[in-house]
Amino acid sequence: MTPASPPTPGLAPVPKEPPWYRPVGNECELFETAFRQQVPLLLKGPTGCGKSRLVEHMAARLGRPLVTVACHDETSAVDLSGRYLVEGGDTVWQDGPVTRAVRSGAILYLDEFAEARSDVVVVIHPLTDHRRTLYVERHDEQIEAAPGFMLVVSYNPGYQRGLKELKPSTRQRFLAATLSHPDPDVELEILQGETGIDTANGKKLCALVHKLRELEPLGLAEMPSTRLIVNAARLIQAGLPARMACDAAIVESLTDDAEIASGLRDLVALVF
Amino acid sequence: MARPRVELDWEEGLFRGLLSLWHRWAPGHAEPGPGAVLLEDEKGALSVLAQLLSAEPVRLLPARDVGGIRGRDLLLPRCFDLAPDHETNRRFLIVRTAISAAMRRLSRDRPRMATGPATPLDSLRLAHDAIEWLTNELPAFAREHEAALGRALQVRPDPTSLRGRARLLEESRQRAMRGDRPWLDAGLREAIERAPVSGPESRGIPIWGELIETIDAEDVEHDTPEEGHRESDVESEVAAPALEALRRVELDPREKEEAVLVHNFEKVETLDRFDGNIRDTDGADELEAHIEALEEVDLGDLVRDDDDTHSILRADLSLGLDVPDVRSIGPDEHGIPYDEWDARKKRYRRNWCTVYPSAMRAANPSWGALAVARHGRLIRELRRRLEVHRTELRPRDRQFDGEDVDLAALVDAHGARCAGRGLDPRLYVRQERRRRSFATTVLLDVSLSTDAWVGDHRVLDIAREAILVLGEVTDQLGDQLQLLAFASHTRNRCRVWELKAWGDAWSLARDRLGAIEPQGYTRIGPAIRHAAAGLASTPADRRLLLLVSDGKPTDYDRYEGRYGIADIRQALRETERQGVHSHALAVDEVARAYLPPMFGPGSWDILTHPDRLPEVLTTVYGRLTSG
Repeated sequence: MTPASPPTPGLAPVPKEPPWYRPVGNECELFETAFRQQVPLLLKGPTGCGKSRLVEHMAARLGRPLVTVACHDETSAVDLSGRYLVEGGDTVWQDGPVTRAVRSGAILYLDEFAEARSDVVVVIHPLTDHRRTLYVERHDEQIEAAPGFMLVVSYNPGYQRGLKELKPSTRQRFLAATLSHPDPDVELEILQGETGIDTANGKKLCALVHKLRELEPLGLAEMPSTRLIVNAARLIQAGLPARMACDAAIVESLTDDAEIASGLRDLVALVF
Repeated sequence: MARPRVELDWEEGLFRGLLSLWHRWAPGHAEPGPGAVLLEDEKGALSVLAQLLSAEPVRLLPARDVGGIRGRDLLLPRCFDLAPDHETNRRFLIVRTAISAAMRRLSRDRPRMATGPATPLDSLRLAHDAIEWLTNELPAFAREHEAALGRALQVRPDPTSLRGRARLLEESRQRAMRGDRPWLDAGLREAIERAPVSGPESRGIPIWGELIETIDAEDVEHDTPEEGHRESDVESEVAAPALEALRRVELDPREKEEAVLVHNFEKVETLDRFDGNIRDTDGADELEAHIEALEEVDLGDLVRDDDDTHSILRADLSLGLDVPDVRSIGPDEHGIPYDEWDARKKRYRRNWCTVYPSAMRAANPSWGALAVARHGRLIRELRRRLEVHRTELRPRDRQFDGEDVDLAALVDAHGARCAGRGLDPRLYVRQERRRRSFATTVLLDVSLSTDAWVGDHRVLDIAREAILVLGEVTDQLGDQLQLLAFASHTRNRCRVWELKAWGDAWSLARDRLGAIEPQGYTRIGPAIRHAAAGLASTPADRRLLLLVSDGKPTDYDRYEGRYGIADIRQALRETERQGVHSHALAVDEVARAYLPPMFGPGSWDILTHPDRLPEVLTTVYGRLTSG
């Protein structure tokens, strides 16, 4: 029996320089307005399209600490709100990440929120409306959110169709924005901003990923993301031959099927 | 395949010898070099590439000559032998695949305005556009194409060695390969049309391919002859060699009525155009006797005819529906032998039955779409119900953290502390989801007894709508499901159609489910044994066999009454021993006499209201997979 590992998020100091982010639409303005108006925000979009980066960037820009929790299907309310630890003969209370964020007025980012267990939703609800409070049941404590607290959740609509969906009663508490794969020009800019790769190779990588997004007939689970080509560009920048970099960063991470992989490699060879 | 010996005249034999010599030595039929790449070896990877570039599911088929595009089919040379070494040939074949895929994409996105059949000049123009598109899209394409084109130009014949139309075509092709645009030359187009055809032809460009006329499948389907000819008795089937292009051949009615006997030797002077004469389109099952002749037939000619079919030459054409019949077994089908239980002698009859597993290619997409629409609400409701059931939480004790204190652990810890020993900090109970993997096979009886009616519905229609609902629900839940249909015609011909293999997409199975029709008898034993064997080799925590049948054993060779029931009961015992749990469902009252004694208490359901079958089938499934 493996013990459930306790989540260990800490309150990292606010970075002086916000991490680099290239807006694809008006998501930065929306984020900032939501923050000022104290309304929670729901970010939708495929994996690797920059949801987490946007949150990091905005938290730093707004000068708030950031608490991130990656939710999975065993994430429970207890994990988020806090627990008693046994130390020697005594028990000691330890705040969970949500409690910590609420107390300190941080931006709380719940990644893949739909994956979490339904009892988490109950804990989150009073935080999302005018009450802005968190009730910690086990500790019997009502905590009012400090000014500057903001809740951001992300969710990937295409993932596991029909199984994990947010309840309408939860969704309607959030402002929502969809992030999608950027246009080739913007993607090139992102790629160069992230890795400083030269324009020729950057263009090739963007052309490649653009083609790969037409993969639908192959039935891959997920669309190739900007993250994939960012990794490939890093490898190329580090001196790896381009085809080898694409193989490791793109082809192998997209599929385990030998035939599909071979076909994808042929496509890479037509690009590099 | 054993070929029957046919008595031949000495002239006929000589002719065949000449024909095979011709095929070996004629231009375009040369033996492949050592560096040749066979399409068969590369098909998998190339079809991935082709789909990426055409952005739709396309099919790669082998072509006899240079091939090209025909609708959604990309015809590529069966054997690619342009360069001396294997590696370069493979690179060139990739270039060719990319061009064909791009040609398909462009021809789809902007359909040809011109009426009439596509000419070679249209092919050149489309290839040119495709190359331009690829050069823009893929940075390294131009380099690869340059290399392939250089090589292809080297092996083109000298246009002056050709005559008439062939010469004009060869000149245009070479001009296009050098970057010129011969299709803009209206005079040339006309000249080609008028030029006499003589001598050897100018071959298409192997790294480009041609635009091949499509025969609209819809058109062919709707063009069905008068009613009454639908029921055909197919008696035998052979596989045909690969083909390239289809031409519609209008058959002179007189020619059809009296297929003139032509002695093959009369054709010796026009050997290069010999395509197997015109054969009588009607006849009894004489295929066995005609196999040799069929191998000569030019499959590029499609003849429409309204006579009954008695023999099939199976070619990779897929123009119409294709359901293997229960009574006929193809020559290349392999049966799997299964034992049968003889109740009187109390022993097995070894390898008594032969099961022929067959893929189901026929599909009826509209049926599935309508049925899903009809049951949409039920599907959503059942899915929700199963999901709630599935996601029940179960406590796990002695965790580091959890919703509740684990009293037992706490007492232990207190004792340990009082005794001065170390303390186990795992003092909590945590609620966790139960997780188990299931594999389910649904076995659908499609024998003629399912053609009966209960109320206003045909039994088979009720059964398949129920399976459709179950399939939709399991698909959304991500469960493993296999779907088999069975019927038999004596112990030697038990057929099991695989409507959904373990890995198949449900949408495919749904289309196939709509196309299945009642046939044959009900020999349930071998079908159960076959399904159980498949299930037993599937990795899962629990295995479930759902039988949708009235359970009444019948077959031509006295598989009925006590004998049949005993065999089925024995087959079920075997499956239980293999760790497969089985359950039966039926809608007709006949079943009441059969299912209970065979399946035992709690393992069957007979529905008095057939409308409830979809709900009950899925609920039974949910119950059996939640425990």
